[in-house]
Amino acid sequence: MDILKISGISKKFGTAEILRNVSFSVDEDEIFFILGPSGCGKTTLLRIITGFTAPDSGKIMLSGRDITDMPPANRNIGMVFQNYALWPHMNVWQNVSYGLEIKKFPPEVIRRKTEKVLQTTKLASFADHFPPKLSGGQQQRVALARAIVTEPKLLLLDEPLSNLDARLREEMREEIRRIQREIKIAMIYVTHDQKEAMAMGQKIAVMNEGKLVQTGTPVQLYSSPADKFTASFLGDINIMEGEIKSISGKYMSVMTDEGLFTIDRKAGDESGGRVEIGFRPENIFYGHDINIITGTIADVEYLGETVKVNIKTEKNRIFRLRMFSGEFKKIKPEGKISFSVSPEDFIIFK
Amino acid sequence: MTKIKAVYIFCFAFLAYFLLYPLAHVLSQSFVADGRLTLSIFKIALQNYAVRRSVINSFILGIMVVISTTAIGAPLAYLFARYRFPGKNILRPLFFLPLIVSPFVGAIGMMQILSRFGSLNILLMNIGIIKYPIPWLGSGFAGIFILETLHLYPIMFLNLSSALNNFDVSSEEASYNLGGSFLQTVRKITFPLLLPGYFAAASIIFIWALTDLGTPLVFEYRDLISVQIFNSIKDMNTNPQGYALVLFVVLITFLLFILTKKLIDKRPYTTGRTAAGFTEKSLPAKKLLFVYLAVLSLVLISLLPHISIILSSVSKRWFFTVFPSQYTGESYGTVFAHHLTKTGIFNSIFLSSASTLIDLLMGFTVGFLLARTKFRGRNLLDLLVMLPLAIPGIVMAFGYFSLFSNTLLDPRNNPVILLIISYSIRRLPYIVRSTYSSFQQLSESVEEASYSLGADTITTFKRITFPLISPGLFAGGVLAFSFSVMEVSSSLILAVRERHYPIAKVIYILAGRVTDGPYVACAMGVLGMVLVGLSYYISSRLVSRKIGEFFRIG
Repeated sequence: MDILKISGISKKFGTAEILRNVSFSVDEDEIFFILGPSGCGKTTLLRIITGFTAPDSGKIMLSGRDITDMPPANRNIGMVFQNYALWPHMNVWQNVSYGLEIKKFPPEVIRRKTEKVLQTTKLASFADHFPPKLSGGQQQRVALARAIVTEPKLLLLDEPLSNLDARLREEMREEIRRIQREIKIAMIYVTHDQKEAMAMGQKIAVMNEGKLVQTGTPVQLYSSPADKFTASFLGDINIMEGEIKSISGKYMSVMTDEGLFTIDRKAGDESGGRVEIGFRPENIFYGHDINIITGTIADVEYLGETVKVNIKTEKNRIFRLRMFSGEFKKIKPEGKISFSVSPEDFIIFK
Repeated sequence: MTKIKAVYIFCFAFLAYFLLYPLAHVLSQSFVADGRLTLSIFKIALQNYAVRRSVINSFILGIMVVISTTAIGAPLAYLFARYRFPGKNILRPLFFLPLIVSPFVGAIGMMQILSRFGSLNILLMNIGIIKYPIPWLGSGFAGIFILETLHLYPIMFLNLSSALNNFDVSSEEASYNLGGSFLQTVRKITFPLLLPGYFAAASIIFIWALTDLGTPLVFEYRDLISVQIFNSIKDMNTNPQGYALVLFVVLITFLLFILTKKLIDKRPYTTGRTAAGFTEKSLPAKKLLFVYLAVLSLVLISLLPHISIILSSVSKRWFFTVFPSQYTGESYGTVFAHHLTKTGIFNSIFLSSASTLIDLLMGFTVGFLLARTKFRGRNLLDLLVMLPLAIPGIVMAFGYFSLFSNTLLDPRNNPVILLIISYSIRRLPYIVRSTYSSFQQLSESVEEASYSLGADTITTFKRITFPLISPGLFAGGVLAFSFSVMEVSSSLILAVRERHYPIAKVIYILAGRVTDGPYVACAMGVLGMVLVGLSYYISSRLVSRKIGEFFRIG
């Protein structure tokens, strides 16, 4: 069942269109990722959901109730702020129990719930510490504990890990997922880090220039991106322009300045249309007899497990490839190399 | 929203009426004669020999004080910013001590030391270095110069220190790296980078010296602008001199203020932090000895006013001897027994409490409005509330006297309300700044976190916003209170009748009485010194800042 349903949200600041007709819905118990570059409108969208910013148009439904005009205090939506926004004059216990006091729970209940959530977030031994004295990871946990202690229906996380170092970030990814499973809460998780979203996400919505571009699982987004932006935001891709020459059965032929390529046909493609086709650097094979590209090695970047190799063709086009180190050893660095791309690995953009 | 608008309008109205209106009144009185714009009052004023001489003297005094404070403050700042030596952190706070004694109180004590048969001459004659006493104070001008230099050099030191710490040392190192010599580097790199900070401090010191009223009055030196303005108040309705001189001061102040702002805007040179890995250079033993000698004698000399007022306050007889010949605690008893001093203490505490209350309320409100709302006219309010920094106390007091004469608020009848308002307006900029920066440091998400947990505006304010803002607010309040207790120029000008005298005026009156007057005045001065010193300490504790940050500009 949908816990949150957003429909047709738009927002302008002055003449700048920050959000354009954004719609999506979030299921109970899921982590819904919103992924996009900085400035794409993610934070504004979150602020509209929490009620700190009013949308110009559109509707927000929380558990079937229209909350578009409800003040933030009444929405019961938890929020973890990017800078944590902990209260430096209160210790961990006071920070966390604040929400329960506001909601006027009896002292006994406040004590029990605060204790429990501190246990869940592994903060029990820090209850009397003050936030400025805590490490980044601990502050993050306090922010999380404070947001979930009131058992909101929905928890929003605004770039929650962006202030942590790489190792801690990995650890907290696990933590957030564990806590989400334990307390069974719907989350909207906003990030600009595609690796984070891909690693943690069940469902990801990609945002660009104020619009939701595509929603799907990590695999769907990576292998069938809706547009070039999504394709390149989620990973490296080689793109060529071409024209559809012929269509037969499952396949079609696309003419590019690197030659003719046979690729899987998609519904709606017509002969004679201009398209762009692309493939991911790791989707390459050797020894096939179709879709062959030949060139010399222009640049090599050794990454340990894998190697990034740039190939330069006779037409001076650079293809970025990625292969395992073992494969790379078999290639003679000075000679020409040929590789091919299988028809189903091509992505078509119109 | 409409409530906020109303508060806005109130703040504007208050500042306009008690700040702009008196200024405008002085301007109109000076430029308009017989309903026409005219510069004739300058002509009339400058025809007067005493006026001409006081303008020239004040200028010379101002420039001399800027030069002397630079000569002391600049090497000191460079030494403390760039070198490491044992005892540095113990020595540094000693340079704040001059700031806790206002020079006019210090002057009363220094008379004991520097007068014709004061301690210094007696000492030198006893040793046999001189045969006849040297007139150290001259006509009084030298005394004013010495006291103001000793009081103001810490401001130069603090501002240059912060400027030196604010730019990246690697910009100097880059010059050395390219083969620049020490002098070339200082001239081409260091000095240009320090210029905005230096100019700001120098302007403040110049204006301070130009408008200091208490010190020349104690030395009975009349040929300065400030004293001329003070004396012109009696016949302000018939004599245009006062208006011309006030206007003159206003013009100079604004000119310097605008120049400083231009300089700072044009060269936003704060390059941020010092380079990583920068370590202060250590000093060779020979130079170290010289440094200690220089620094310690400077500390000793700048503590002379303190020492002299403390000694005077406990002396019973101090004539023709190096140190008092008899000691007593009676002066302190007199402070709390004599009707004049009791009235003064009561008045000052009452006036300062009231003005501090206004400061806290207005300072918080304006700080909030500036930090958290986006109304049109925001910048204007910002400018208006900072304006008192640029308006010397003597100008404001003169403006009040001129504007409110023969009205309900006439200071000749009852100056209480005008004293409270002038005290509070003079200190308002400090409180607004400290509240404003507290608000700025407080990210809005800290309040939003509270709203998102279901708290309403009032609860959020009570439990989150106010507790986080209040240290900054009260730190400003403590300082505002003690500054107001020791406020000199408005007190001297606005309090006309004895029963309205605040502490500063009581000290001034006592200092002029022949018997034990100066000793009692010094006892009051010592108490004031303790109060100001304590309040610096308390407020720096409240905001866990260093005391020096209160005196930094821009």
